[in-house]
Amino acid sequence: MVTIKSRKELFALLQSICEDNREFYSRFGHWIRPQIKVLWIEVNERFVDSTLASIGALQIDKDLFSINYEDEIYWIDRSNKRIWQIFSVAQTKIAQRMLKSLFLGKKGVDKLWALESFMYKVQKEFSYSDRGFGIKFKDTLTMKEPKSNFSAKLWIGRNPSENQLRLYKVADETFSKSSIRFGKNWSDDDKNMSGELYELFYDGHMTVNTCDDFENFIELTSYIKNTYQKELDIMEKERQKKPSFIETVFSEKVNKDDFNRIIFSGIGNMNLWLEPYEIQKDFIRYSGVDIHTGDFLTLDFGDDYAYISNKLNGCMNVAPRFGSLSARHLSSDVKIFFDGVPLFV
Amino acid sequence: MSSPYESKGERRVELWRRAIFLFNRSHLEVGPFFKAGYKDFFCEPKTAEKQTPDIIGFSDKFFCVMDISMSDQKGEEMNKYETVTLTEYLKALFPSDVERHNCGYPFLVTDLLPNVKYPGYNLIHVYQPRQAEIEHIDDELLLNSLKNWTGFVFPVPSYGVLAVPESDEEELKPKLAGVFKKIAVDGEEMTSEGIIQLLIGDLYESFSRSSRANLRRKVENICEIVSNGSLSEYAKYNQTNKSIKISIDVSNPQSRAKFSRDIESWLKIIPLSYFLKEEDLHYNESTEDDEIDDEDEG
Repeated sequence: MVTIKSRKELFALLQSICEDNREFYSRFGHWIRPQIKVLWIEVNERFVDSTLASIGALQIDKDLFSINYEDEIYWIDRSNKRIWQIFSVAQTKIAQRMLKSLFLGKKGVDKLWALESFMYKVQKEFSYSDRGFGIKFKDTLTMKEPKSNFSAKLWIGRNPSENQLRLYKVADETFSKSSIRFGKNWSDDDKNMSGELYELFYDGHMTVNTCDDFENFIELTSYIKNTYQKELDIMEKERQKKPSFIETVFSEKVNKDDFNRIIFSGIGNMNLWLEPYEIQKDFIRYSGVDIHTGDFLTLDFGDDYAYISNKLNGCMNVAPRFGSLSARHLSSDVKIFFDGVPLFV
Repeated sequence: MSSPYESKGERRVELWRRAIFLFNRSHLEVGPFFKAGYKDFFCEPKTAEKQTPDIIGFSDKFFCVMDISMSDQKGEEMNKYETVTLTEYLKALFPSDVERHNCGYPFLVTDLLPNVKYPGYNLIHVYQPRQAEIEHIDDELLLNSLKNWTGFVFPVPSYGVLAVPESDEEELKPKLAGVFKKIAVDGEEMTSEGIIQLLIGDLYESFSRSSRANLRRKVENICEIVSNGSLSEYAKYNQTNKSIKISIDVSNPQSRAKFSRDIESWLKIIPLSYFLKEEDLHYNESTEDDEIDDEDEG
């Protein structure tokens, strides 16, 4: 495999994948059409150096590193110091395995958690049109077997039938999305289709199905990481000034017993290990630790809302994480607010 | 309605939270000061005259001065805030296009309506039914907002305020349990001063050094007892540094669950002092007195 030695070469490679699979064949020697994956991680500034050192990354350019994991190469771009983006052509399952093995579970490293509102904000910003969405629900909160579990992807073409639209609309209104698909066509000629098509996932990664404009692609990925960071910065800057809280509003009642099970031992991606200190009929107050950073925090849980208060200088990535994962577990809509203003919209 | 909390510590914690929420909003409720445009505030500020009210709130044109009290008499000295002005620091922290003026008389926020209401301040009772005794407010927006406010219906956010110096040891224990989990994840010793900073949160500077020392001693006592007792498997108390270290394999969910179970068991232990009610203490004391009297007589 050809070794990438600079950012310019990486971009050239990705562009070639975008434009023509033949280029990939000439470099790598096989015809499997690769799809570019982008994975975003949030690295707390206190842990940047230790994170890089622990994964044995090789620096190939300014703020660009590469690692080899299970015979796949991953290029880590940390030009944004906090939101790193990792490019790869590995299959999603393999890339997620790499992420879990090398990054997640390390103190200070978390995913970018894309709330549904954030995913649609991205789509809207670039005037991409709807191409469908994915639903993936596994009720990991419950102890009861068999657990509720289903998944579906509803892709929508250019001319859906009335019945198809009906199904699509019901699903759209009923479930929170695990991913959304968006894109644009440049040519209406079916024999010579060109354009862009992406699938953006709630847990911070994106698959490039097709892209004929590499600059658009880079602009899109930059927008995602920079906008996400900006939202975190706003919350953290305001938190410096005064005591504050992040408000999470659920579209349905939350089963607190199930939530208690998660935080009792701090299991799952929620990464919150808490202790209840005040229990009322419809309200529980917790204090404890965000295992991601070691930050102390409090969480107040009502029937269909929750308040998170972080300490001064605390990492606010807990807010989109809690919101996104609550939506997944409940399969319902979740919105988060700061000072009454909706975030990630 | 007054505070549902019986203990002085819990009452004060909740009163602080409600006072802060006057300047905030949630999707369920809007604080009357927030509604009137007072969206920024500062806890335990210093004024240009070196006065230290509990909170100063800021709208675009006005600022308001606020004290928090559980006393049924307080309010006598509130007029000292009537003519205060902002420091350059506060002006820089919360910039405005116009010079802000004091919105009127200072505010006293309470969970208990006073037996005696002195003149010279506006009184706000934070439990339903809301009772605001307005004496003088120049800011019409704020005046109207307070007149229309009916009090908070839902629980307010904790703002990370878990304890105050008045909190007793039984109140502190469940809150310390969350702190112990943080100490376990850190894997390092934490001093009693560090612990009370987490418990008091942003209000740390609001309390005098001596009252913080009072809280610190209670925390040290609990840490020492728990290290020699219920959590001795994990906790080690350093008497010299007044610090505690908790050792757990935090990467293992089962270890975390076991620690949580042991915390639960610890919190269920009811101390002997709980059973010694006030009347029991009087009875014991009077018995001793009687015996002494008997001896004297003999």
